[in-house]
Amino acid sequence: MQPIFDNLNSLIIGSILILTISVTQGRSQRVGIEQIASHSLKAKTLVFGHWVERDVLGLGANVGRNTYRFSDPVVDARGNTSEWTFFSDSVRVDGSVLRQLVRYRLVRTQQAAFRDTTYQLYKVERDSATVAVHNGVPDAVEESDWQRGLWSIGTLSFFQINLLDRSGTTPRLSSGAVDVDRADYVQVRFGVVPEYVLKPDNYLRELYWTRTMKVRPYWMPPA
Amino acid sequence: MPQTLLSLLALVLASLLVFNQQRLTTASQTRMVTDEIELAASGLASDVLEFAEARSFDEATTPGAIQTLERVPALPSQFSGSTTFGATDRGTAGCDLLTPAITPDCDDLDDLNGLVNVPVDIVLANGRRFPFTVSTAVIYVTGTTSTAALATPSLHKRITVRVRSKFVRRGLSDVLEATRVISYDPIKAEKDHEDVFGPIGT
Repeated sequence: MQPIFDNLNSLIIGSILILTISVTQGRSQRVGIEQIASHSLKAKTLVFGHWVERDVLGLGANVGRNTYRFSDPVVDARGNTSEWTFFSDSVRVDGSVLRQLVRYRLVRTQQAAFRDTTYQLYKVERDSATVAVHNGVPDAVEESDWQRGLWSIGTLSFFQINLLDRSGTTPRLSSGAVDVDRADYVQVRFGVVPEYVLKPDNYLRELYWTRTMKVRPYWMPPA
Repeated sequence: MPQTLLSLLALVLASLLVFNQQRLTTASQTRMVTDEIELAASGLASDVLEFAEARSFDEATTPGAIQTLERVPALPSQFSGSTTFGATDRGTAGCDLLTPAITPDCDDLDDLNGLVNVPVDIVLANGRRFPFTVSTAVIYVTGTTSTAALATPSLHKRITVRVRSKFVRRGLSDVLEATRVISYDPIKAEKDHEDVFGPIGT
């Protein structure tokens, strides 16, 4: 006992030092992990955004003027776009035409709890199909025609496709359906959260990506 | 005595180490959050620019003005002077930067001139909102690469959008500044007219 009491001050200070350094080390590790998670999250967001942007800007090739080249997006109860199909045409050497369709399907993946809120996470499945066009009329697309693509990320917090006119509103027919013929812009919005969430005191890091793209440069002025 | 002094020295060194570590952690967190806000701000600025371009180029090229004139203006001399940019004809409701339909009087590009710190929220998952403020400026320029303001009307207008967030502290600097030259497109003007009134002269 005597040596312990002789060095009591040093023992207390030493213990405090060890505790302090271990806490600091722990925090430092957390920051390192967060930095990696943040970097990968940003990279994933930008890459997925680029994929979608490329798809949207490429839609409608060879389709002709003054005609729509996408469907009315299907919206779920949470306001997410659960399905959207768009297409372009490809002219073969022999003059025949193929319609190339792309379909986005929003699929639920997992739920993630951040503080007091539970978030439903999603991924976008990108399917593609090719059908022949005869005299301007494409063959019907069967479910078996769709081929599953692999362009997706699995931690989307929301995904919305809005068809807008130049006043920023969705043009609608008198029936209430979206008037795809009058949509000038396709607006894509989505949020992405990291796959790895540090608990318990981590805040929700949700990256937001939006792009509004003009897809109707194909109007022809009257002769 | 030497033992106590050594202990105190160790405490001071440990405090310095912890303080530095804490400072680096805070700086790193701030940088990460700023990056995330900047990404959101860049999307917002892009949307604001897109809907600025969606508006008519000038008050003289709005569908209503073309309907009155019964033709599409072709000469810069027919456009508004730069001194009338801004609040002259945008009405009292201001300009909604993402949904122009809400503020129908703010119908042409130069109406956006002089907007300062207009609140614009982005909507995230579960209805959470993130607030930004946006300021805009519009000038006439001589060409698509010009930055100097032109006193007389031309076929090109440069719009500059500045997006700020109260969560990013950088003194007076902005989270993001984006600029684009928008050139007059008579075909777009004719299409916009046709969407509202049908073909010219009918």
